[in-house]
Amino acid sequence: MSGTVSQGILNDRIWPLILPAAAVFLALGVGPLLWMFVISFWRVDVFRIAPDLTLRNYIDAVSLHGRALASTMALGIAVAAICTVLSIAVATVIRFAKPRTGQILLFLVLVTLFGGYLTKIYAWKTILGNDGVINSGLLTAGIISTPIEQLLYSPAAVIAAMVGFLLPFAVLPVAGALRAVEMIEIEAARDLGTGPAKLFRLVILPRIRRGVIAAFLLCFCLAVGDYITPILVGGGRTALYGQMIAPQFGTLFNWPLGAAMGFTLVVAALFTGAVCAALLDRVLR
Amino acid sequence: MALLILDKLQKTYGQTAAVHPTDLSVDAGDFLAVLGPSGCGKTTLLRMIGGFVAPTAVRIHVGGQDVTGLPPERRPTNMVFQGYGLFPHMSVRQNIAYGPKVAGWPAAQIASAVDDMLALGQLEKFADRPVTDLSGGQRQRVALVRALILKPQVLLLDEPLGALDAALRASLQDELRQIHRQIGGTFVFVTHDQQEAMAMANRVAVMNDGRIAQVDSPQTIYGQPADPFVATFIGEAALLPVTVRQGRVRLPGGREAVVSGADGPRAVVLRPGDVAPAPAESPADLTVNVTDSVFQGGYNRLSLRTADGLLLRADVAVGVPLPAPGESIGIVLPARPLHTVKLPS
Repeated sequence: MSGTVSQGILNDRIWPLILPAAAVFLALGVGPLLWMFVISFWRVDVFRIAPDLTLRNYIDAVSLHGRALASTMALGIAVAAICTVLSIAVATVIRFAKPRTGQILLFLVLVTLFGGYLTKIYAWKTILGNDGVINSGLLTAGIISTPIEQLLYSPAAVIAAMVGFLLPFAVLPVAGALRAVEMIEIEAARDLGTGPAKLFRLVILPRIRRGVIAAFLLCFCLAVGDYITPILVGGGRTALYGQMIAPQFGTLFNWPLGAAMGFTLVVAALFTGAVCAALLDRVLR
Repeated sequence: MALLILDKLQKTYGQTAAVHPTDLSVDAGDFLAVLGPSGCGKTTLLRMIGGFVAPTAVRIHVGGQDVTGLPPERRPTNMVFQGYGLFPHMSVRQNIAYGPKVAGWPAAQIASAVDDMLALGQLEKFADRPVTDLSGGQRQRVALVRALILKPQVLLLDEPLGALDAALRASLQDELRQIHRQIGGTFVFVTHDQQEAMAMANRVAVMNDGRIAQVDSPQTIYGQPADPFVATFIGEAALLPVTVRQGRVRLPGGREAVVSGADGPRAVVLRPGDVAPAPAESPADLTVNVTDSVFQGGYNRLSLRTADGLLLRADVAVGVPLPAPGESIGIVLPARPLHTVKLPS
């Protein structure tokens, strides 16, 4: 008896539609992952990987690179938190500006997604570098006599570059959630005595809770998995986990350790993400 | 002493006037209906009182306080919105408790006030359900008591029953009247439904094209409409053109009838209850052609056409012999003074 008529009519016939996508996803996504999972218990034998059943790689993954794992999680939380806060501000303007203005703003946010990932990172180099926009500006103005090297190749630079790249991903779910908040709810809240600040806390934030959590998690996952940005704008000074996984499959040739580190990162990110989501859910309720 | 005073309230959008300069005062305890066709400015008027639309020029006084510059959250008014505006992330109880919570009432006082409101709205059974689970009528009651819990000096209602079906509307009309009697507040509600305005309000303000045409009791609005618009918007009415001389008119049948209103060209307002077939052998005031006869349950409604082409309606009690369509009959108008309105020039 449950379900609508249209669901009843279509139910059995629509399933084959997902087969092509499922085939791609299973063959190219889940399959290799399973293979990597198996390899993560193997060992390296004189430049060859050899079957084994050892937890050595996982122990190394945590004991040798534990600090990097922790700072990666911290960086992910920082980037996601900054993106989420900024996206709430941007999405609020998009939602409550005049409809036309809101559409233009949303378009501008989306258009930044067309800029390539690498292009954006190099853009940050030209902003933060020794002869970048900020340093040459300060030099010309006579405020400093030598370039501030710490602008680039610092955790702050990595965070800035990642926020710049990830912000549109955060704005979209928040803007979507805000669109569902109707003007009449806001008017009712005002009518019942809510000033602008309380309105945000008592009505708007609880209403967009799911969108905010989605924005946070999306940014968090993309940030902890990124290993290009820290190499290009973080220099050697920012040791992030992703940076250490990549060479295991290249120069260091230790696939089992790389695989184990990869799964360690996934588990750590799932755990951290779940804790953050639960916290946000409580705070925003 | 008037509780709510609108002094030259006005709203223009660019060159267009939504509400022309309007004066209106509402006494404490009044149940005032603002009635008019859609687009007449009645909702704009209500939203200006609530603080949601900034008036172009005016003063709005509530209980002696000038509230013109105050935002909605600082006005002593509360509003029941068309579409309710309930908070979907909260239960019924949380919705009702919202206002007191924001106002910082002590928890015990909030709990007991919410219980009172749940009882008033007959919502006890639904207290802990999410409002998204409720039916239209139940949501309407939540919106009503959520606004009432703050004991507003004036409760504003914007088409409160507009989204409900006819049967539910009738029962909620009764409930609203009862609640008004019970708590004795001052209600101002906007509606386009004249039956609803008549049934609920003790005063009706009829709006047309951004102006208040008449403010009076429902009886006066129906019996002595101020102009042709009010006469035809409220109930059925035919306007019989006449020339008034010294407070009298000569009807086509020859009788001199006493009428209200100044001398000159005017129109007599004829309600279906005012028109009756002339009894046999007695002189008729008007001769008309019967075009149709429809059984309405308690009475028959005749459609009649004069020689000048004016369409009249007459309600005839069941049992009285009915003329057949096509027949030419004489009709009589009431002996009491007839009400006239000025015809637009």
